[in-house]
Amino acid sequence: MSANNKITIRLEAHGGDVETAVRGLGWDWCVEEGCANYMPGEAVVLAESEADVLLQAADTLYNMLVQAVPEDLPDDFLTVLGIPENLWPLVRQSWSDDRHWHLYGRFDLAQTPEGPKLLEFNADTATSIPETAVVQWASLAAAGKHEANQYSGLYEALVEQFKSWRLLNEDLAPALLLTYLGASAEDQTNCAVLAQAAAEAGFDTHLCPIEEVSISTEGAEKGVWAQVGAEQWRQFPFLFKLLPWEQIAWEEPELLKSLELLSRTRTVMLANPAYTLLFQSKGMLAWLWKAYPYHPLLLEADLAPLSGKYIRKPYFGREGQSVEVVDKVPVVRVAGEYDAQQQVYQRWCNLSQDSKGYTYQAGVFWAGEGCAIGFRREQGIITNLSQFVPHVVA
Amino acid sequence: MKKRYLRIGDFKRNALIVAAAACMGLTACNTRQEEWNAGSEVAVPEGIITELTEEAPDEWKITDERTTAPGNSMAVLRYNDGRVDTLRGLELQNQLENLANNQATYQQGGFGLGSVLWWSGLGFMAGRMSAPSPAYYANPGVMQRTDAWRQNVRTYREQSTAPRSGRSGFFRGRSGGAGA
Repeated sequence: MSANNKITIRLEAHGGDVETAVRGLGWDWCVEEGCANYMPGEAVVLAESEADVLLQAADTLYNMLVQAVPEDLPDDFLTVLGIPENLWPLVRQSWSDDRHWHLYGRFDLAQTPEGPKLLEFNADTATSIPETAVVQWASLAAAGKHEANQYSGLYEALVEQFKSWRLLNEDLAPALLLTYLGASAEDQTNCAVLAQAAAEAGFDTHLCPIEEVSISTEGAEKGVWAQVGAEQWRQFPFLFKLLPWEQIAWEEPELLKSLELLSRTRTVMLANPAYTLLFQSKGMLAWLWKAYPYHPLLLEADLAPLSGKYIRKPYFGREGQSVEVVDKVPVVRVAGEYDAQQQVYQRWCNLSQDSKGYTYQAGVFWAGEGCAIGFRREQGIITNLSQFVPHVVA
Repeated sequence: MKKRYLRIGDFKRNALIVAAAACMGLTACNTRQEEWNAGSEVAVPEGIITELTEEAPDEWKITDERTTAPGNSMAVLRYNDGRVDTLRGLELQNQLENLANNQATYQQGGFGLGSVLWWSGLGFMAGRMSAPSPAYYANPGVMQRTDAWRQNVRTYREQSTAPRSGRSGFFRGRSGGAGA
């Protein structure tokens, strides 16, 4: 249903105690602190056809992204996308070797009367995995809606992706280290779900904050190591890092140098691979518009300000920080740490809305294919504190 | 496109759903929740004895390879002139360290002693990550004999201390997460 050029979101209220399940899994951060209202007792009602369109959009957009990348990754292209120069060798190496496997990413889409539109693609370090794969299921299960359907097949798709990654690199021991910034319980939980999927795909897995990982580039010790028990250190030929590539390049250039060397000698395989930063860069939104002007899944985007209403986004901004909405004059500005970055200008697009004035963004996970949907809602710009809303297929 | 929607009432869909369902009392209590991230015990890997034969001056082949008790690894070198030499203990350790430090050279090929050692089971212990190449073995049977062992070493490249040459503490002091 649409009115005023916006899709109206249909909601269904439900009761039930999802908190017990969330806490039982040890995911207390989901229901605490800044996330107190993270899981409202409501679900977005989605027609099967609408859900299919969203998943199909993820598949189409992924193909478009791959096709839009020039095969030899010329310097000019990497510069336009703002890829840090010290990352170029690793981006090129991973792009030219199919054994570097993109495990998953999340497309953030706006649902409009003209169909879904790409807002951005979190290709490198997307989160919301536990919410999408488990918590939104639990919220309906707790409400006793056992006959309902939901597009939440993320976990199953991740298992398939991990299997492919392992089989493509069968010459390496299937030991996978998943690493994250130690201060974040949320990132740790995202890694924990990935670890479980990887274990099902035949990996020996271990979780560890990046501060505690030891990396050697010398001699017999060469490799990525983590402590797995008392007086027991293991070397891991597979590393999943929930750390943005551009932050590794800017803040930890020595770490990047080591990873590049270890990758070149096939001592470690890294995921998501460095080339996913090409997709993650919001400069890619302008590049895509140039490659596919007026494509129905895209919003106009440019490296210079547009006329009319637009949103300005930093290339590597995350969770809505440092964005600015301009309609002749600035109308909304979100503070953040990314102001100094290169910027992209994207045509403003009305998000779908419910009767209480919340706007909704569809997070569509891609893991080899479009595989799961999760909604975030806010009364303004969607950020990391926006509510996660489960959905149910009508 | 496969249908990715799933029925809420399918409580056995995957390990996490099983665990969450158990927490909510939707299914009988079970211990899956503890199981899903439990570590597993590992054993100390066996050692390896590699026999190399010099078929022409500084042209070596791996002519025999078998496992041995942990810590009893050895290289047996059969020279062209009939001399037989063995490398074990500290001498072997130094040789393995030399292999690991110069792997870029040895990896490239040739049949000099260093390269053939690198491509043997001992090279695998020294950190070679790639699969063995039949070119370095006298026959495929010798190579296959250590398949199971290799599988084991691959899984258990472990030591009791942090790597001496390792660096750590990356991103120390960062607050908040990095996901998006």
